Amino acid sequence: MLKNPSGSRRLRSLIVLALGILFLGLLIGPSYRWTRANVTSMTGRHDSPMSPIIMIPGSSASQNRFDTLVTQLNKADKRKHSLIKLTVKKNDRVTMTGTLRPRDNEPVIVVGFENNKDGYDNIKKQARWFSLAFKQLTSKYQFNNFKAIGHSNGGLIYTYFFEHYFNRTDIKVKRIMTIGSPYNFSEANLDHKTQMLADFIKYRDKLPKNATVYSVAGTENYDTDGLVPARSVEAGKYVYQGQVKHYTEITVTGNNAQHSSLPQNQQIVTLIRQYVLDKKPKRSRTLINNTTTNSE
Amino acid sequence: MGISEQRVIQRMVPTLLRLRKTNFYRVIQRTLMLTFPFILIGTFSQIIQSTVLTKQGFFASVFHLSKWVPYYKYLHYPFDNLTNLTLNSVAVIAAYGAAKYLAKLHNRDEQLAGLTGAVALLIMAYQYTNQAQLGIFNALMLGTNGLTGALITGGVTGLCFKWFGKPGDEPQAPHTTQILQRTFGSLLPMLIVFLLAVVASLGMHWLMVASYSEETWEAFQKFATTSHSVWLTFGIAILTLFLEIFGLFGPYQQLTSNTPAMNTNLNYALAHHSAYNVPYPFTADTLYHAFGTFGGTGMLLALVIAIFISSNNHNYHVVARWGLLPALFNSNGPILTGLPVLYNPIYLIPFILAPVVNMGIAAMAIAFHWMPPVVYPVPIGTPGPLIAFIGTNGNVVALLLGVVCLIISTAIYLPFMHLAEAIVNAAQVEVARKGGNDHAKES
Repeated sequence: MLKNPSGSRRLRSLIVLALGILFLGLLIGPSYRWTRANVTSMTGRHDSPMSPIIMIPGSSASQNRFDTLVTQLNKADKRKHSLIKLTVKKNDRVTMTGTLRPRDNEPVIVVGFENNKDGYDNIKKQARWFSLAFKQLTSKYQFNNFKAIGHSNGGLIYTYFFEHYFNRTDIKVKRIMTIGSPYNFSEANLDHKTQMLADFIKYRDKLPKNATVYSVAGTENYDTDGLVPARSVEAGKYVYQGQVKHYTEITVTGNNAQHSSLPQNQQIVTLIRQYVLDKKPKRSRTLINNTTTNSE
Repeated sequence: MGISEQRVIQRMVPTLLRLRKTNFYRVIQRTLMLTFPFILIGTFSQIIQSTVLTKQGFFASVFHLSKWVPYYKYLHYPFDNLTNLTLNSVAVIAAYGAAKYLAKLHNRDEQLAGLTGAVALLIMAYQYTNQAQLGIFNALMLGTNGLTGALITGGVTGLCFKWFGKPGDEPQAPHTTQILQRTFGSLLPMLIVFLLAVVASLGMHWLMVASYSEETWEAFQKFATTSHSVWLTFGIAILTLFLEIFGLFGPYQQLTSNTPAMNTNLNYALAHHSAYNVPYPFTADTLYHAFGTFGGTGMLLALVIAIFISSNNHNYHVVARWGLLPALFNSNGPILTGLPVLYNPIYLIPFILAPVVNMGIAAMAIAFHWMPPVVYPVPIGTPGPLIAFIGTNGNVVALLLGVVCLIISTAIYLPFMHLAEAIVNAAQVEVARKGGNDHAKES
């Protein structure tokens, strides 16, 4: 089979080579445009000062669940956080109401679900729905960090979301607060781990390492907030402790410490202001400080 | 240069020709040839899957395919399937081929030997699970990275047939009794091979459980991909290239995204609006993946070009033409098995040298601030010379350097390609001299 390529064969190879080079040459332009646009959008996100607070209500609650809380926060904080509400329908469609006020870098975003039923299977579904809403939020608003608040099952949805869906490297969650979240459902005995708690523990190494987590429990008596056993809230330590940067447990008692009233509880509003909200930019204080240093 | 190169080639041809004629080498070559068409089809399917039908793929990103192509989400399934059952299970074919050709050399039942080799490999790749369900196969052992293991499996199978089987010519007029006799003659070696395979499989599982080898390997790979010292990067690149020409899995083979060094670099670049002066300029991503893998591991795009411009061998041209498109998107399977480059001592030097020289040039260019290091995301399957261009946010020097690297690599590959060609020619001349009979047998 001794066959040297004749002139025409060799020519054909050279034509193929030329076509290959031409092909590469034609791709330079589109590549350039893509990388420029990509880097611009990444820079935009990286430089963005926006840091929303994203809240998930518990089961049987709608996207309006936190209205009172936000009013209280705004009153106490003397800032007007915009309130944006998203609802994810059963067919994966996401609707959005409310607008972002100009120059508001810390809007409150509430994500509710059409199917807001209780149960582990529903929590899994809701976590997926939340991931859809989250994706929509990230493409609409250019933020590179956010704060998470989940009331009751909302905290469980967040936990499932962080363990299974949240894999963005360009966005980080700074602080997570779960309020009255029953990590072991209504089971007060920690020796009896529910399937959900076992799964949370199994995948806990996927939790965001740099987040600071607060788990707030309410109690009417020594062991329950009327619906959720304090022991069940406490079980969150098996999931978060040692996995995230800080894990703090807080117990609130007294007025409005009943499970459903927790989001309106004055203590909890204070806790949210203190631990979750970003500190106010203290421009005026700096000015005064400057003058004092000057005068010294 | 030309004359001295010719002289060196002349001196080396006889030695290498002798190597080529050994049974060992002939079996390897025939086996690789057998896998070639499967790899070729699998590679085409794979580049369509990874560049067009993956969201992070080159064409998908650059032309925003996921936004306007209907049913984009579902289009990749058939290609996944095709890739998995061709490219990613090619070792089964290699085990079949190696056992078959070795058995044929020793006049044993080649068909049974081949099938036994293939099944033995599957036995070893089978993963035992705690669940009652069927176990799954170890993907690493069945894909292109399993080629070496497959050749060994096939080789051992062939040897077992040689030692324990009965020789017998294929019956000319096959009567049932003769076929039956022949089959029973192969029963003993088959049993021995399967037993060996089961023992090997259990042994490997025990070893993995006992020594945590997977975790150790993962830890090493993590260490390798996160290293950011220049020397370590070069050292591990050389190790990777060396392992891969022998069909094994090197620590740099996988393009790991999101290594800490990469994230730090990216964040720095985004914060300072410039990619110069990033903390870790010399990593696997800025040097090896950006400048050392045009056409896949070993800069095989350069070999393709070398063949196009100066080969006289018809077969080389055919393989190179088929291999160009995959090589443009950094898939080197067809060239590795078609020429072949795998297990070929002639190509060992350029296979390692070309990428390392390119990495050196790139490191120098970065050190002297001629261009920023590659820090921005690059889509999957980006053509080699464009990787640095995209990864530096469209730096022209990076693009030019990519082209220069390609030219230098082609120059490095040229003399070795001539040597390989001279050996092929010498072998052909020898065969032609021996006369028509042998020639017919050979092909």
